[in-house]
Amino acid sequence: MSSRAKRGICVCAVAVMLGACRNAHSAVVNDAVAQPVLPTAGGPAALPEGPYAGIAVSALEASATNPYGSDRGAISRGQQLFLAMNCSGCHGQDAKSGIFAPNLTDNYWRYGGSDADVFNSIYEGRARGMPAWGAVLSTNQIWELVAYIRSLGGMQPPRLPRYAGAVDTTGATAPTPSNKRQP
Amino acid sequence: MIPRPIIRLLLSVALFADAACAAERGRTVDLVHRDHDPGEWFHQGSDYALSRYSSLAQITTENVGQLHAAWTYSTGRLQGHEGTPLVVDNTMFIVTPLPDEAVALDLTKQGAVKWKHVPAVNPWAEGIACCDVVNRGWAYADGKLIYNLLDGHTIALDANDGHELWRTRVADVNIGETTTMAPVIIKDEVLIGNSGGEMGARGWIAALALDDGKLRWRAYTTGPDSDVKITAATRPFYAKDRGKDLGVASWPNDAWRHGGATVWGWISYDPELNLIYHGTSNPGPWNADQRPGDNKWSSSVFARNPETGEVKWVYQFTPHDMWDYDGVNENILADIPINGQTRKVLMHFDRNGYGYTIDRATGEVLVANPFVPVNWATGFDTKAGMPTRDPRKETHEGKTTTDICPSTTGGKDEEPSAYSPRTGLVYVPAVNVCMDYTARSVQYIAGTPYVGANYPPRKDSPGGYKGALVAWDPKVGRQVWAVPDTAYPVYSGVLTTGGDLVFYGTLDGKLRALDARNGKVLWEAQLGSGIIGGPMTYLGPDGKQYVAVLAGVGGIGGVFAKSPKAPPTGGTLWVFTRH
Repeated sequence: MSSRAKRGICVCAVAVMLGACRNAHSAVVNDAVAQPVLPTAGGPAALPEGPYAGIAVSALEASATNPYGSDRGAISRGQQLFLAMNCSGCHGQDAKSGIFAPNLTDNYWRYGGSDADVFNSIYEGRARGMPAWGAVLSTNQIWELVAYIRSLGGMQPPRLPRYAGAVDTTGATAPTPSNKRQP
Repeated sequence: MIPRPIIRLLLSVALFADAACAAERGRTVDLVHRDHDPGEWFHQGSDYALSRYSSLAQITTENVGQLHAAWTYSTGRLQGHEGTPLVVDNTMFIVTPLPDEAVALDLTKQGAVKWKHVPAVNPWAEGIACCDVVNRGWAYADGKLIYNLLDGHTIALDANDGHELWRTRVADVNIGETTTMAPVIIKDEVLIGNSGGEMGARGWIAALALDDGKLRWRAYTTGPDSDVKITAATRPFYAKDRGKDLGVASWPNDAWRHGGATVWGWISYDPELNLIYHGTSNPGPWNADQRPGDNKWSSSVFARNPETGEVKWVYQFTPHDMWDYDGVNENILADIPINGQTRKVLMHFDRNGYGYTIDRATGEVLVANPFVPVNWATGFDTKAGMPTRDPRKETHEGKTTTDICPSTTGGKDEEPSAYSPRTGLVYVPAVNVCMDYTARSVQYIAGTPYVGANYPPRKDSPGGYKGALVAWDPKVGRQVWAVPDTAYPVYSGVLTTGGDLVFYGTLDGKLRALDARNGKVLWEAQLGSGIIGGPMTYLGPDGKQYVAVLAGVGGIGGVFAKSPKAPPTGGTLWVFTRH
């Protein structure tokens, strides 16, 4: 394993442990995966294909909220994941990119802006190119990402009606949402 | 043993039958030389040399002021409209951005729709397309309209009614490949290349059979010589480009497998030398510290045999690129006098800010000078055959380098220049923007961006303008005149005509006609959305000359046109003529 990968895993492991201590009193969903599933050195990770691959189907309740709330450790780990898993490559270093993938800091959410909506978009992937990270990341890690994205200020629960003045900054025509929960 | 006269007879019967069949298909087109009726436009770049020149001269510097809109067609799409309309047999062909709808318009009926075809295309491709869901161009031959879908398929439609004849999956969206480039049809082959230099894809160029789309050959742009199709007969001009398996040796470990060097730009062709010319993208990842070495063959130009893909020569514009300076821009072919001798050259305006005139038979750089302010290099080393890097403008992991010129968009991006054989000048749509650049470590995850740098904030260049239409003398490498734009880079294709006109468009939606001799703006029209496509010209069924272009801002150019004052997105085909 390259020293860079070792360093990455060490940082993530420490972050996870710190987070676990801080969250001793919240209802964190425990699961077996304690750290990001980083690719082995020299080889690509398993591709988290989009929803057509059907590899990650979420069973989350529409009303579910982030068990991490606004926990600062979760937000910080979420930001590290945002960089490490190349979310920043599509959405921009500051999550404001409008070319590859939508701006995550404005108040337009194609697939909904609640905690559960954003969790599902990350977990399941979406038709226009969002990978299905549920196949690669643990649910804790995805909630950390949701916490980080919420900290950027754009998420608006409940889901915004399509024509409530919000603008899709990628300039595309608004699609019919492909997930099962309709507005 | 069949007697010779019988063989001759059989051959002539076969040729006659073949010609008769071609005529029945509605159009006999000389696929070798593409010498075509100047009233038509059936190649994106007008001809194999990519001159984007039309000899039509009904519209002149004297009367261009009379141009008015004859008709328009709304494409119904809001994304970027790259690509140039084709006209064959009084039919105009356009392809929209994703979903890559093809439309045939009847020029005998004011552009009435003849047919439309929306192909089945994977919407997932949108999320892995770095630079908007554009379609950079389509091709016509043998009764077929051929183009790429964003999702890695090349398709052929029947030009008469739009039904699909064949489709071939050529690229894999699951590893971040898309296909945006304009295919080129040479003899009985369709040449295509991939996109995905920001996704850790590995570059390639391939040839499909024109009649059924089956793969004929594929040549890679990184990796061992056998993959790249470098042979014992390959003769790079410069020592830096000579050696065995440089596509492996100039990378650490197996980094060449995700090394980018994709083929998403333009392909030109010299039928006499029987060579195609194509460039390659930036190396991956953007973080150059993860890939010490020259990173061949990224940011390079290849001269290849079109039937086999074998490399005649190759030249790397920017070894060990640190600034996303792709080498994919068009190579316009012309025979021009240099120092009293006629040379067969290609003319190329690179992302790295240099305007090159290169001997297209050998790869020797005859002229190389900056066409926009450049500070990543201090000058061009003619012996080594490359610019000399300024260490202060190198980019490194964990470091922010400020005020690098040009920015990642380069002195010119993919928007194609045009050449006028009448003035001997190349008209270059230039971008003059600088940047700060911060690289950081990145891991490869298939299907996600393999970049490792902040998408750089853009900054003003010392030149005091953001873009310009530059008239450049390729014989000496000097600007003759330029029309600057203080507000926007120039991101459209260019058209030159026998009437000594230069047509191009601005990111705030103006289509302009300039006097090709002195740059005077002779005519302008506001088209309602920024122009990133290429203008073209043709003769209508009424024998009048028309000029057409697709307006509809987007692509990377669209990033510069997002201010509240800029016209919005929205695709419209505009067609102009005189009274």
